[in-house]
Amino acid sequence: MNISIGTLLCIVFISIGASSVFGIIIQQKYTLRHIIQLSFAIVAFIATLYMNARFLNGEQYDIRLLSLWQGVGLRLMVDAPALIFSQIAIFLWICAIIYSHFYMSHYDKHKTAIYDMWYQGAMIATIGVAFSGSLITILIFFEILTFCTYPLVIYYGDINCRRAGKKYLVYTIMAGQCLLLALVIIFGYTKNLDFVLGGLNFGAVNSAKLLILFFLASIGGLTKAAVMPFHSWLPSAMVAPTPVSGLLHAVAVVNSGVFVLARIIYYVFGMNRVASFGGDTLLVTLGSITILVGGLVALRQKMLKRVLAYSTICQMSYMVMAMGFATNLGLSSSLAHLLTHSIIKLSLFMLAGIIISEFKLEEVRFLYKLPKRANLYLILFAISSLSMIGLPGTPGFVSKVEIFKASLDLGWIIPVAIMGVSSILSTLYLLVIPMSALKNRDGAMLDKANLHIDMTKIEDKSCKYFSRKKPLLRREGGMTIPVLILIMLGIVIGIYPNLIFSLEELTSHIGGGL
Amino acid sequence: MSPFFYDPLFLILFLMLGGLITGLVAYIRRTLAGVLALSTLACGFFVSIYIMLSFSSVMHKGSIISTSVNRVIGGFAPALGIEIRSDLISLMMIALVCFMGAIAVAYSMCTVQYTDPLKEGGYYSLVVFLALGLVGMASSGDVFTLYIFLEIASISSYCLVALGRSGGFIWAFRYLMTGTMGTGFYLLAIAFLYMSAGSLNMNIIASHEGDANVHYAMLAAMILFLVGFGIKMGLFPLHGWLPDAYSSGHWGAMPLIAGVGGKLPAYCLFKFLFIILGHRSFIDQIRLVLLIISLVAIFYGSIAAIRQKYLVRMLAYSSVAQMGYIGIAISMGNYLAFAAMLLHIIAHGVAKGGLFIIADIVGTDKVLFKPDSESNMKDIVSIRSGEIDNKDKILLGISFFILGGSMIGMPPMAGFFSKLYLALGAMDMEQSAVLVAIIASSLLTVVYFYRIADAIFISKYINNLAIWQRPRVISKQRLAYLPALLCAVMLLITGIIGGEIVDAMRQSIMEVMNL
Repeated sequence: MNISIGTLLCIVFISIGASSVFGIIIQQKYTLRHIIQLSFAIVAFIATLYMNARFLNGEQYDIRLLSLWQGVGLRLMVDAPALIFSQIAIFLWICAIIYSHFYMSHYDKHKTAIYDMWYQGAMIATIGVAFSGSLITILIFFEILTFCTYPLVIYYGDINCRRAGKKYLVYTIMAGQCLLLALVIIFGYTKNLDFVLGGLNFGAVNSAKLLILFFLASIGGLTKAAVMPFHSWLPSAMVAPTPVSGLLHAVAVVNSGVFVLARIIYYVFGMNRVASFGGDTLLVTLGSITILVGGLVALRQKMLKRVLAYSTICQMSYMVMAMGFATNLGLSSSLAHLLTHSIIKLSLFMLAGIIISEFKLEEVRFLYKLPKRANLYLILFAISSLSMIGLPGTPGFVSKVEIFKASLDLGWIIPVAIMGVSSILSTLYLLVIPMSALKNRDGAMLDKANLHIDMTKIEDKSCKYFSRKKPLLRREGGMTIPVLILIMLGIVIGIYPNLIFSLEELTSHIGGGL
Repeated sequence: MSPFFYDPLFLILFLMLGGLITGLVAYIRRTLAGVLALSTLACGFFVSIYIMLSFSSVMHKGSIISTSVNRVIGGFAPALGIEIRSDLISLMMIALVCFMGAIAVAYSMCTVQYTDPLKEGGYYSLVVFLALGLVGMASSGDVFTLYIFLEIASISSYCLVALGRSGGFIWAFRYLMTGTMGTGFYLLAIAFLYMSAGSLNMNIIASHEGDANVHYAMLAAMILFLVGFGIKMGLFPLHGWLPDAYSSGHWGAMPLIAGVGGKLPAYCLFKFLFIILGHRSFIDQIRLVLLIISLVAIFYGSIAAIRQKYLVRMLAYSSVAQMGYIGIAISMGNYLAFAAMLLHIIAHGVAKGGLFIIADIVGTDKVLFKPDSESNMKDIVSIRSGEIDNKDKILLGISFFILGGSMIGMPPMAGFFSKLYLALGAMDMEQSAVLVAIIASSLLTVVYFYRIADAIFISKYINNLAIWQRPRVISKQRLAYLPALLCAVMLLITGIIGGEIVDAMRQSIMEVMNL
């Protein structure tokens, strides 16, 4: 079949758009809505795979959709980073649809319809960010992402969620406005906002001014990517339902932040120019500080999801640091890490969600109370933690090795040392959780009395069971399926990464320019 | 151009006739008056859109060079005669006015008001006359016609404010006093212009050269004009009548008065600054003064809005702030800023109109925020009964999200693009203070809009919507949301094709700005 890459791009957008339209129309039938969503998502995923194949054959694509002023306009572009980001986003979205079908099955039908609507909006925005071809386009989708994820943060509606939502809004709107300001100034200098590999033509501008402009532009990406000191919205946003915390706040939103940062460094300012005015040192410094401090703070967290939040913060800064090296390998290694980290983190969040909602345990220190049937989840958690730490043979190792290579290419040992320390820290805060739960268990079943003591007000507010008859798949079992998919994918990547993506091809595609 | 409705006078006469007949028809049947008013305004909207579309297609074909159509009335020579002209920009304003007028009438028809047919018919015809006045202001080609239509619009809006609930006539009196002072200043300005240029026609005044006396007379005229139309617009120090008039005016007419009523004086201010007196030497200083006033207006309006307890007063102060944006756009003076001004007029006019409708649906007597301790109490005690119905929530939610999002500057609504163009225009003119002001005020706007969203949707402060407590004319319950939803749709459309519109009007804009 000879479908051009442009048509495939249309198919992707249309299928995601169609899934939201259908989602709004079919409000009452829960399962039907999710089946429709799932099928559209699979169509979109197959389209992106096909696009990937065509792109590797050498077909290029970019389109200018809407002219805004003086030739600048909405521009969509298909290139290597866009394909990687969109593929991983859609694939993880498929897993998240299956997961949230079972997770949200205990809630009010009407509220879940609204939840689905905003979720799909967030996915449209993420794919839009992935395929953006100009700074104004990426800003537009960036802001849409903010406004689509906000109602999901305040989903449960109590005072904690509202406070977390306010904080989230403040941080992300400030990020968007900084990006807008930077966009305007960049346009003033370059009169062109398209993404060009190798950077736009800034003319002879003072280095110090460029550094400040660069910092202003990166605040947007850094905030969304949860780099310190703009990170504190992420742990607070963990009051959202777990599918939201997992996909959106660990995969879609923070990955969008890293992606915007990648576009700004490599496609707006240009690798060499960033190195020339010291932007690379800035990013590496911020990234390193975040890795260390994030890892240290994670040790102190009591709630399971907050541990994972700080782990996300830490891993995102790996990517920021890798991009700060301002080399081709830097960009491709950080994109590889984006891919592997998303898979691992989503599986961790899904497992955390199972533990929280099925067994009503939110704090790490109480995990020893889990019944025997939770053994499986603890073991899966341990496997995912091992890949997050970066054991050889796991996906985390694959991408971390590339970041090491990128750092050693420049001759810098300190980032390598920092990443080593961070791996030790992540053993301490991640691997310890399932290990101690497995070891300290006294085998006690969680009885009804304990259930009420440990239950907090946040999850499971308005419990209405959606059907009287026995569902096909138990809730717990249903939620495990995506976890298993992700872990198997992770094992495949860990053992034979070239099956999924090839780093050399990626680097050569990126490094074609400068 | 043969069809009769291409004549710029047609729309004016049509609206005038419609207004007069509406008043009389109310004696026969009250709802018929509303239907007539709605159809008059809707026809005006579609006709003006049609003319706009064929204008640009005619321009692209290249067969007609000039972009405006003049018509001199009554056979008087242009020096003293009435001139009505229509160009693309004024057509756009006319379309906006008719659209918001139709929305206003549609919403008023959803809630029954008076048993007295005189009041009801009078109300509808006042709305049509207000629209007429605004349309005439957009299409007048000489300064005295502008005054006439300004008076028509102003008097209609005084009466409409007086028809409001609970004490509207008190604030209408204050509005009357202030507004009449404003038009008085404008009349003085006309006198100075006539004295120095010898003619009332805008084009003739613009091309009039003169000596130093003329220069000072024009300067005096400009300052008087700035004060007069500043009062009409609601520009910062002259806005005192605005919050009260907007909060106690007639709820149905608010989309027109609050949304569009201040915009046309702003457009006339633009015309004066750039066309009529554009090449005088004092224009730069006037623009600087306008810039400073507008910057203060933005911050004052936003901060005052944050401090308000009631929804409509908050929207009123927000209008003061948005007038500041338009003032900044006028004072920048380059093409991008003018595009920003046009887009902002549309975006804010439509958004504010829709928000006033939502405010009336929710209930203007509802308080917007309560201290945190009380909200905690409300969370623990679950209030399932008396909560806003789900369908209401969805309709309110979609409209408010789009309308409020446009005010905040959220893509893809029109408000985002107007802020973007303004920032780009400011960047072009190297005004970094303006850039910072725009961004900072966006953040302030988010604060008070968040509060509205919080009150209506999240915190359950508002339990019963006011609109369901009032008697209704139309039996289908939720039709009252339709005007707000239409505004939202218009905002989305304008946002997406806004750039195209501005590009298509490029020649018109360049001509107008003498660039």
